Amino acid sequence: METLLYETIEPFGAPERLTQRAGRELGSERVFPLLQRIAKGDEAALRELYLAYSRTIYAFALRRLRDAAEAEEIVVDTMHEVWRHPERFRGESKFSTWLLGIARFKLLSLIRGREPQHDEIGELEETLESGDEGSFEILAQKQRREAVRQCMDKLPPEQRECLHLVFYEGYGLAEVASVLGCPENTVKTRLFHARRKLKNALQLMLQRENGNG
Amino acid sequence: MDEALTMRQRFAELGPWYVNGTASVADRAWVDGYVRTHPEARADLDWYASLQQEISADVPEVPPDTGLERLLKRVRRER
Repeated sequence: METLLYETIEPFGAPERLTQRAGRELGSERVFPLLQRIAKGDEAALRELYLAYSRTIYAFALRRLRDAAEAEEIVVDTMHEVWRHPERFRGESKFSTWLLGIARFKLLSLIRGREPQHDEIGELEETLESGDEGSFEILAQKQRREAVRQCMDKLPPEQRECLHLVFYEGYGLAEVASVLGCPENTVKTRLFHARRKLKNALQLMLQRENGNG
Repeated sequence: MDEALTMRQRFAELGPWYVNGTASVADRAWVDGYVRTHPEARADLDWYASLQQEISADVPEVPPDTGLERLLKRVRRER
């Protein structure tokens, strides 16, 4: 029985997509020479770095902004910052972590002054008991992606970007805290609330589809 | 604090890192042990794994050179 459980649990932690993503991260031995070339005005080096990291920045910005044109703007602005100040990366973190920190600063500047746009549904917080873990299985596969997107959109932006960094980028706790510029405990708290709200939102969606809500 | 509650909280905290593969060896072993003695907790990990799958698939693939020409124009303008 014990062996069986181990075998069942084993697939976690090594999702193929995250393994592939980790493989795409350039090591310091490649990043630093590119940055040194950029410091000398080498456009080819900038192009190489851009092609390696634009998708990472784009995905992060899109998760927060939900606007493709604005997400693209964040990519350009972030890489422009790298062009202007390549010496600021000192290798104290992964390059992508440092980049996403810049991207986050840029996107916060972009949205500062806007009215809050997310439509957080208060009832998600309180109305449903958590504990039903089967909501993903019950929703038909083709509905899942749309359901998750809808529910993610209703999360506060800080919780949404937290989920993105954990489950899209596959970052560890310290890296998430570094990008978001907050203590690790804050990351844990955001994840806790995000999970609860998502579960409730998915359950609520199921209830409504079944005509019970 | 109640020991069972403390363990549940630790499990809840470690779940995302266990599923995304960044938990330490010691933490992974702890989670494995917890699930062995609390089989119902497995559903939590399944839920995170499903969420990870959906979040990973939810960002449209864009060509990596999207916006590159705009950046290069900006860079050249500033020279």
